[in-house]
Amino acid sequence: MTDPVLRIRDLSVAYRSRRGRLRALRHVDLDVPAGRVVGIVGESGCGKSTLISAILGLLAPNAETEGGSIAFGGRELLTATAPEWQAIRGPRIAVVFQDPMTSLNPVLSIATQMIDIQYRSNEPTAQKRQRAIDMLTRVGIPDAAERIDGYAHRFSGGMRQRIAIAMALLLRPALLIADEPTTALDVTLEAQIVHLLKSLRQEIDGAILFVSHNLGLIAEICDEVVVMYAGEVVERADVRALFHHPRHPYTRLLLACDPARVAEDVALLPTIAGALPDLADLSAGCVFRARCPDAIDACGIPPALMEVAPGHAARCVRAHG
Amino acid sequence: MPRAACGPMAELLELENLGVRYRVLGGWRALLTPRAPRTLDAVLNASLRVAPGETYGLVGESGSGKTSLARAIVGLVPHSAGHIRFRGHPIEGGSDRALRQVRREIGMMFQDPVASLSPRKTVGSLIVEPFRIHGINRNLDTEARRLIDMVGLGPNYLRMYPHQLSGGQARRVGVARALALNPALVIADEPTAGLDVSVQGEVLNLLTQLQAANGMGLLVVTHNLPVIRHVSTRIGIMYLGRLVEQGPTRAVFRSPAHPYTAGLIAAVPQPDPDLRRDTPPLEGEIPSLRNRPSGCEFHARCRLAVPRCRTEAPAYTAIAPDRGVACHFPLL
Repeated sequence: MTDPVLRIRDLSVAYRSRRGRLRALRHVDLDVPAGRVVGIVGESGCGKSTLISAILGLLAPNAETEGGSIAFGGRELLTATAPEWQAIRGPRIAVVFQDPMTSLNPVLSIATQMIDIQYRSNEPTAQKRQRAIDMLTRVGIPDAAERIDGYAHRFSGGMRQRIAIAMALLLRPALLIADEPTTALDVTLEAQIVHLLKSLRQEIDGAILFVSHNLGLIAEICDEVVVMYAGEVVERADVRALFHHPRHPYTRLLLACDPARVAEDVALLPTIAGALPDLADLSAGCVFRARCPDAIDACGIPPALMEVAPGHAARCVRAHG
Repeated sequence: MPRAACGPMAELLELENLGVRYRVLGGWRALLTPRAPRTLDAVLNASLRVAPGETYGLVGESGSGKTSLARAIVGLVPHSAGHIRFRGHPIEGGSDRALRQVRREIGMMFQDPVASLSPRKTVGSLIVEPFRIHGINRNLDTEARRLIDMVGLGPNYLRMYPHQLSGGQARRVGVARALALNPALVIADEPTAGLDVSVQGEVLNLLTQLQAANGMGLLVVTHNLPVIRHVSTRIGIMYLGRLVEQGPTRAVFRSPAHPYTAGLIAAVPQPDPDLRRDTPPLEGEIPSLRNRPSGCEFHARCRLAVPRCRTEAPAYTAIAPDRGVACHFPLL
């Protein structure tokens, strides 16, 4: 088996704050193998955004990496210098954000932006432009050859997200990070964008890290899923194993809360009682203990992320008997 | 959950052919483009009824006019056509005083819970604001405690400011405000938007429980189909400002009559990797309100469209008791 495109080991990140250190990520392990779509699912405050910022080297100034490593194509990203980042961010690791206007410049035409990002290539501009048009056509922009000279505000939200995807994939990155790419879109457009990403993955040989809070989307597009809770990876499995045989109580409760999975005649929706633990003042033991219906005395000892079946790991003492 | 009783019943809210029209071009821009349309119809010919104790789900994508419709009911935007009746009495064209009286009986929960709360007021002061606005003389401290307890928050929340609340807590404060005057109807605009899936249930269960306790009617405006399937008794689907289908929630989900409804339901991703879809259920995007398609406004996205759909607009017709659809060839 070849090395994964992205390999994160034992990554811990904390934020300095007035209330002390907020331990936003603790001992995170994550592999994104080439050609695979790995999903990260978790609710607000689970550390999804901190993890993505860490992978992109865009952590806030008050963030401190407490330890671990992020290896991308065999190269350590935690110690990468600014010029090194320039060669990685964009050409090698591309991102599609929730709001496409965060990656589109409102005062430059789409053509200018898409030609500009090919600045490393020595090809003539006409060729760069043609490549951009081909990519826009591929992501479903009608009349791309004419519309490429338009500005972002002339496109609808769904079209802007298609353009953002085209720009991200233009340089054929080895890793595409899709950070809640459809959260701002309506359900029919969301289905179209997810279908687009699914069809593009057959053509690009890169891997996709798909971050979402929407379990339905994760089930729709991902090969493997990582569930995060309060800064830790609590479960990691093949998508079928995760949805059909979840082992961590949090995963089970999260799946049970999804209204799409609740029987039609149930009027009161299930919820997870309690609140997230305070990241500045974590008690020892399992982070989910206070909310867990299955908690026992042994949960006072911090559980390790251990394999419960081949390729399936859970951070729960009860999951491995 | 209380269900609407069968048979004739006094309607709580009745909309008849309601229209909401916005002015989009004015001043010097109108002079520069004399041909451009000056108005935009956000809601067209919408008729619906909400019975006491019933939950009506108004569903649609962005720009479908669902929020405009909800705001028109309480007079936050003027309606340009049709009638609104509340408990059988028309509320249009009335004086400000008449409108204020109606607003006492209709509680409104706004889309963005934090933005709809004044950042400089404490929760305690915010939830008794309805009493002040309507000049109702009560012991406000007692009321504040009663309301904060009703929505399941402790009295310590009364001293907090909106920015100190989580999304779910802010919604609860929104519920407390909307229910402060014990209204007969509550309009909830996207009550679950932006909430985590484990918190969505909390807010909806709270509304359902309060409804069971005091029998209010509930109009929930949302784009979240899995949620509305559970909480509503009847639903209406909006497309480009028109209600294209209405009916009992279960019947509509089980066998949608309008191709748009069918596409919308099929577009919801299922949390089961064995139920993946090969093609997106609906192609294309919602057309612009400034440039409404001819005939049936859904024809360009409809896989079943025939030439007639391009030229002739379908009328909204009853197809079963309590069910109606605007389609030449309903799927039933």
